[in-house]
Amino acid sequence: MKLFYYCYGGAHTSVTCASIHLGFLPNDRVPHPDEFLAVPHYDKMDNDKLGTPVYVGRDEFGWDIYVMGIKRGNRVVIPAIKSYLHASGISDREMLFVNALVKLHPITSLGGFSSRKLHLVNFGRPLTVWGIRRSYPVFVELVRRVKETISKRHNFS
Amino acid sequence: MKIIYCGYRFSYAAYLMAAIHTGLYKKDRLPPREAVERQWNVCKKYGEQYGNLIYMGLDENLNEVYILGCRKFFEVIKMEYKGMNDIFGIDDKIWYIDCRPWDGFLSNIISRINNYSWLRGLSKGLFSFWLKRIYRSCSEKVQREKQKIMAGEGC
Repeated sequence: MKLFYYCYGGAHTSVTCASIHLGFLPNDRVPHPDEFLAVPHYDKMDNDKLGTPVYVGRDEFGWDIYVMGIKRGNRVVIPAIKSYLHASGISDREMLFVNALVKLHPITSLGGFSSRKLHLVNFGRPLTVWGIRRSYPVFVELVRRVKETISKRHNFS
Repeated sequence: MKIIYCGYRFSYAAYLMAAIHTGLYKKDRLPPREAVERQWNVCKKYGEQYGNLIYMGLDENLNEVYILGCRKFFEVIKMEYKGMNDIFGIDDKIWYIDCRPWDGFLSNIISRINNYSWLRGLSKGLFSFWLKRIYRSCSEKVQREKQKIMAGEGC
C-alpha cells in the first residue's frame, strides 16, 4: 500500500505531513526550526524533478509514504495517475493521494519560491519554516485524519 | 508499449492523431462528415475533462494507443508516470507524443464557444475548418512518430 502526500513543489508542506506521519516531527507540539532542517527532503526538491514521487519511509501500518510536487495540477495530474495505474491493472485500493497544500501563510509561499525557484536558500528556507510553524496544527490534524482513514481501511480488510 | 498522445485537451489534436494512428481516420484523406461531427460532439461534451487516460485502440504492431488532456502539466505527468512505473514495477514502455502545438488557439476558441448553445453552429463550422487545416500536418506527424517507434528511438 502506498500513500502519496502532494503539494506544489514537493519540498515543504508534503514533506512536513510525511514527517509528522512517520514520527520525524512531533504531533503534540510545534517543533523547533532546527527540527525542520533535520528532516530528510525538507526544502530539497529541485524544479526539474517536479512530479517525481520521493520515498520517505514506511509507517506503522506498513504503508510506504511518498511525497511529490505537482504544481497546481491536482485536478489533472491525480486523475492522470489514477487512470494510468488503472490501465496498468493496479487497483485504487493500493494507494491513497493526500493534498498537503492546505491554506498557508503567504510568507511560506514566498520562502518556497525564493529557495526553490530563485535558489536563495539562506533567505527562503527560514521563511518556509516560519510559515509552516504558524500552520503546524493544521498539518497535524490532516495527518491525524489520514491515519484514521488508513486505520479504517485496515479494519475493513 | 503504450503510446500516449497528449494534448492540452484530449479531444482535439490528440484524438485526431490517435484516430489516424489506429486507422480510424485514413492518413491520406479527410474523415467523413459523420466522423467529424462525432469528434465535435466529443469536444462539446467532454472537451473540458482533463487527466483521463482514454484508450483508443491497438495499432498494427499491437501497441496500445491512448489519448490524454494534460493542460500545461505534460512534463509533470511524464515524471509521475516514470515514478509510478518504478514504484509499482510496471515495465511497459511509454511513448509520449506532444500534440499541444497542433491544438492551436482555435481549439481554445471552439471550446469556449461550446459553452453557449446559440453559438453551436459557429463552433461546428470552426471545428470543421480547424480539422481540415490541421489534418495533413497531423497525419505527417503521426507517420514520423510511427517511423521513430519502428526504429526504436527514445522519446
